[in-house]
Amino acid sequence: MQAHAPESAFTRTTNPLVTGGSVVALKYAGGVLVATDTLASYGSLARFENVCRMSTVGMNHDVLLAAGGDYSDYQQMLKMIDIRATQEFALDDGAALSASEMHHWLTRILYQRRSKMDPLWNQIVIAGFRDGQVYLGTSDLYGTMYTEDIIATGLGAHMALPLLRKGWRADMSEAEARKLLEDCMRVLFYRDTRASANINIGKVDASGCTVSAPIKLETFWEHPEFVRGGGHLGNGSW
Amino acid sequence: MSSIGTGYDQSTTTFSPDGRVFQVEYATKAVDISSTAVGIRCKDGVVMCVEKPKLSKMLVEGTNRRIMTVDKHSGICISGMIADARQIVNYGRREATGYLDFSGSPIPGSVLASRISMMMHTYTLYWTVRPFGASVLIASYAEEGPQLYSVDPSGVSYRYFATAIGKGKNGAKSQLEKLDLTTLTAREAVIEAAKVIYSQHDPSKEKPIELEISWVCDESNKMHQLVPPALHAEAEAAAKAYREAMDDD
Repeated sequence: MQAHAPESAFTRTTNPLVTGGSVVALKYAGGVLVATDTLASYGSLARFENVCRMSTVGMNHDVLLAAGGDYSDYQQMLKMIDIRATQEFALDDGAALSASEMHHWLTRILYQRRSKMDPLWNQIVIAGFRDGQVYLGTSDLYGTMYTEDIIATGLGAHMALPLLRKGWRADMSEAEARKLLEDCMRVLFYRDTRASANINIGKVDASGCTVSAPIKLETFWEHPEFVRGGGHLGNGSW
Repeated sequence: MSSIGTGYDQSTTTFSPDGRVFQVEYATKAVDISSTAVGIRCKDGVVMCVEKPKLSKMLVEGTNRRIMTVDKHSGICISGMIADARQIVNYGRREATGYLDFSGSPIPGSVLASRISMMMHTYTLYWTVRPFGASVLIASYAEEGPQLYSVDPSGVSYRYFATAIGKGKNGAKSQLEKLDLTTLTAREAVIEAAKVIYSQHDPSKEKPIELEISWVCDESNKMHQLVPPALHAEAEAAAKAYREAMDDD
């Protein structure tokens, strides 16, 4: 990339280095659940196996931010949010950014950075709960943003979204939502070569915002098709 | 002020023949006619308390802040010209943010105090600017433990166990000397600080005042913030009772 750039132009880091994979999230009756795995890859190498890709942020830690893409850019984003939260705390006027406000602000930064050809290389998911309202939104490194009842980024947008569309209902209980989310993460672990079976689940509801300790997904590898493989089909399948 | 003017008081860039910089002394005077503020460093935190004259009955309560938060763990209490002091607070906030961003750890009280005092000192060196007409107390509770600093318009800073600035500073300091700061807790210091302020305020001669009290201590989770309303009310009531007992004697 660098080599082809004209000498007069300057290029910045437009490739991610250490990356996280998919983020999957869904609303249920009274809250939001968000899942990320704990892997940060260096290219295709499973370099860091126990990192957390989601965090409670904001002055009152009532907003959940989860990210895929470049891990150091995600850390930088957390730093920017913390500086702003400290400013809010110092002003001491009782105001604190809501999830929706945080989402809009971060998206402005993402868009500004991509317009400078210096993107924050992330797909982010933001969840919150305020005034009885659940919030769930996402943005990408181009500054595209939207809110939805179900969200999946990265390879999850291809593999988890169809499962979520099939299984999701607005009146799901937390247990049902958790089951669906874990199924999505399991499928991603089976099929995404940059995913891991260790996942964090973040929860946002009326009582606040929490990130669970990592849990290990149950997996089953003895399916005949897994054992036999697909090579005999002669269609390029594994 | 013993030897006023005689032509050497127009600028900070000229010493008087007896070795003084009058503009800096005048700036200090601006603090010495302003509201009294006290700071107490105790074993588990720092407490700051300042009086605010009730300028009008129509003034919104709690407006015109004199204690401001700089970083999560540090705050500044001001005496003197408020507009001048607000620039000091803003500078402190920038320095605190920059330090955290660069080093990854919260700014120590010593660094914050020295950065602020260096900045204030530069305002005593050039004829294009005037010194700050304000002194500040700096409270900090980071890795080094609870610390209290005071910075004057001259740019001098000292670290204290307890100190006072403003018009009642001399009386307040002698009151503070009576406290046992090795055993005092922050919660107790809040009450004592309020009493010290009221001991220097004569209701028969001066306008009524409102108190502003902040702390950064273990009880506040090492966050600098105004004390809870209940504690504030308790301190104010105790201070008023103390003053009445004083006046009855």
